[in-house]
Amino acid sequence: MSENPMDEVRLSELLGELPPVPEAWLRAAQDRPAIARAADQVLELAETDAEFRRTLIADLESALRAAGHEPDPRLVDTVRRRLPSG
Amino acid sequence: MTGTAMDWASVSDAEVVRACRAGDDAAWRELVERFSRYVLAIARAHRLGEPDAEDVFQETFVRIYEHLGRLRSDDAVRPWIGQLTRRLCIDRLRAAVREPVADDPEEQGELDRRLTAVDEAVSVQEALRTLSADCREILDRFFCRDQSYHTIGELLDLPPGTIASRISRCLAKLREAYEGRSEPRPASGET
Amino acid sequence: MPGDDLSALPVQGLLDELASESPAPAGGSAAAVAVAMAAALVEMGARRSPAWDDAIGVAAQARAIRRRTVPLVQADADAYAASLAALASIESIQDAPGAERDEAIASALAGAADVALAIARAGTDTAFLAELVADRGEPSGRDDAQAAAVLAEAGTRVAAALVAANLVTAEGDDRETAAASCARSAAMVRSRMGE
Repeated sequence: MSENPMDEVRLSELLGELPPVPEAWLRAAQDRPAIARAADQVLELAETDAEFRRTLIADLESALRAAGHEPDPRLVDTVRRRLPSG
Repeated sequence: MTGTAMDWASVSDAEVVRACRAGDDAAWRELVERFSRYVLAIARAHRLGEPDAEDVFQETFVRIYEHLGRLRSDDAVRPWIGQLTRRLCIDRLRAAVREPVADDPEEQGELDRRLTAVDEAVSVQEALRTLSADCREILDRFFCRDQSYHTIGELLDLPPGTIASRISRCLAKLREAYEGRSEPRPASGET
Repeated sequence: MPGDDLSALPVQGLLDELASESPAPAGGSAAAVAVAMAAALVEMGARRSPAWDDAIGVAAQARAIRRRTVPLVQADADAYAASLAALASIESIQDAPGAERDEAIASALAGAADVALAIARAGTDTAFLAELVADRGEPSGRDDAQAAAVLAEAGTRVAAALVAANLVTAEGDDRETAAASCARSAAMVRSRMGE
């Protein structure tokens, strides 16, 4: 049997030091760039299109759908946070 | 372990980084997947509770995304991520008005030991990536996900005795891969 | 010793805790200890079998099972204490309809059932490994491998019974079936290995 301190037992213990991350955390981090790009697109549209901007303020979810985006809660939250008030 | 069509296992960290910079969404997903356990392990080494660990986890990847262009050496992405995560953990601990670890030498020593174990674990994960998909899966399910022989057996349609033998053989391959790997990389927090 | 992790206590301390008037720790914690001891014996048997190619890998697996079982010693005590507290508060609501009370009881006991099932699964896995060590390890280690199988079966049977007890108001719950299957598997291993 191996006397190497990094034998199969030690290697397996170290594998156990890196358990998987909760799936929801992973998805949130992985989706972040796509969410950010979608928010950028929506907010750019709101800057150039006054009617769209009014809809965005009054009914954000509908405005997102009209712009071709599913109102994913994270996208809704990102747009709401970045939407200038007034 | 990844749901993407491409087999990222053979793609180096530096290549993944370059693909991310080029705007490749699949590369970004791979980068998150590849370093997610590392980031969480560092947060847990700092004894952060789950809500704080989750915040640090998400904030780390926000910062990675925002600052990937400033990385000096693409090969050094892991220690860079490690350093970033450690800083965020320390900031979180300070914000919670907990006694800073640095003030207590014994605590600092303990933290350093836990972080060293994390770095060693990452080296083992890197060796694991060079194994076959079957070996990666069975070792991950048993040792990382703590799944039973019954659960693994149902998923892979294998009896328990066969699973145990297969795990042993994959561990032997992991040891060979680990022993044959290149020089260890810098530890978390070093550049 | 309130606040102490049971698994960190010396043997005498753990036994004192089990023997105390306090309802927790109880059978589930004892079952977890039995399974952890069995896993340790399996690891020993594997380590003492250098001629067997898979030995070190089996030792690693036994060690992993021990690592995931030891926290269950305290977890079972905590879950049991929590379920007792939840049951006490339900009992005080005398007027709730039967189905509603059953659901509240099932919810209170679900955590304890989950921990007990984890102990049962670990026990079954340990029994499988004990059989491997008995079959392929050093012949001189066969007695200890059998001891491991007996301890693993005992822990698994206790845990399976606790799963059933904790799910008594939750009819058709998969966990009870799974736990019973664990107990059968562990018993079959011990039967194949002979008394």
